[in-house]
Amino acid sequence: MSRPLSDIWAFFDNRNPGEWYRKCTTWIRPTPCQAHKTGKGGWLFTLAFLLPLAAQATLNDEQSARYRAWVHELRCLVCQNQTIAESNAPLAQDLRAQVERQIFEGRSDEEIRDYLTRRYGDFVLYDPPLKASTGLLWLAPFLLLLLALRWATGFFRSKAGPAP
Amino acid sequence: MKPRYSLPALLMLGLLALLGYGLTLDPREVPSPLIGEPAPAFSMPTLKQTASTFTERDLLGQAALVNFWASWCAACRDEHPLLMRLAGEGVRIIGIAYKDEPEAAAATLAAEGDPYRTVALDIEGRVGIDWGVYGVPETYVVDAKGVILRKHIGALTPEAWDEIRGLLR
Repeated sequence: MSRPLSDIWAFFDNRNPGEWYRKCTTWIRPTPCQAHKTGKGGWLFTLAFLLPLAAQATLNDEQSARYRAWVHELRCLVCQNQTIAESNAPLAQDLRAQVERQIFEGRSDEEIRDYLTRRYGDFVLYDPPLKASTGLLWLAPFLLLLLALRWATGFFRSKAGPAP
Repeated sequence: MKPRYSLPALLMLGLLALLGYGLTLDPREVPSPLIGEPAPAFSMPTLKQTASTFTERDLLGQAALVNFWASWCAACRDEHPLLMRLAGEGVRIIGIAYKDEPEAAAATLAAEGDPYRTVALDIEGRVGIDWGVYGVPETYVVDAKGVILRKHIGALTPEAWDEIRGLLR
């Protein structure tokens, strides 16, 4: 068996817990080694990655698609650069469970959006709504483009000099 | 200076002023849409009177600080002395233990003192979501009619208290 493969097997090997710990090399990053000294821990560690799949176990295909769309649309307020799909923060987990529950109960997109923005405001949505307060946010790129074009034409016209 | 050079200079100054003001803001702070709204309905068990539940109706009658905290939260330890002082001065403080184990919460209060008239237990964090809590500690100022007047994010400081003490009359 190649070295990396034997390390992976050692991770799950139940027979010699201490032996596994000693065999753990830098090829596998330190964190699993420190956290799991027994073969059992190896399985638990792997199963932990499968837990997010369990959250979708009760939804049908259409609901799952809605769930996936929603969790990529919502901002994690703890790790504010991530969606709640990506974030491991406890709040993100709670909000994913909330969204899953509401989709399972058959709430509409409008109701789910309303539920979240009434509690966390518009910032929880990655797509800012078009309102009076966000009008400048939406229009600013176009305004700046217009201003830049006006400046550019004025600049190049003056460079060209008076017409011959 | 020719007139046509002053416009970019003015725009630059304006932009600098705007950005300078932006440096004083905290981009991580999420303003609460609950300001001015009645406190959301809730029902939680309490730490001290285990038989009774604490609901939003119990908030009525006297203005209070509703403080979301947890035994696992380091910043909550920072604001604890201030909360003890305020409780000594007669301020009504309601504590909500957010995603905490009752034993751990009780142990923390036993060790450091208990500034809370009531300690409610939000073990799952559902009440926190209803109040728009995204971290601990967070403190809400609720008036006698149960309307949320202000939200303070992070540990309560003496400066912040000076700003909100008037709201509790």
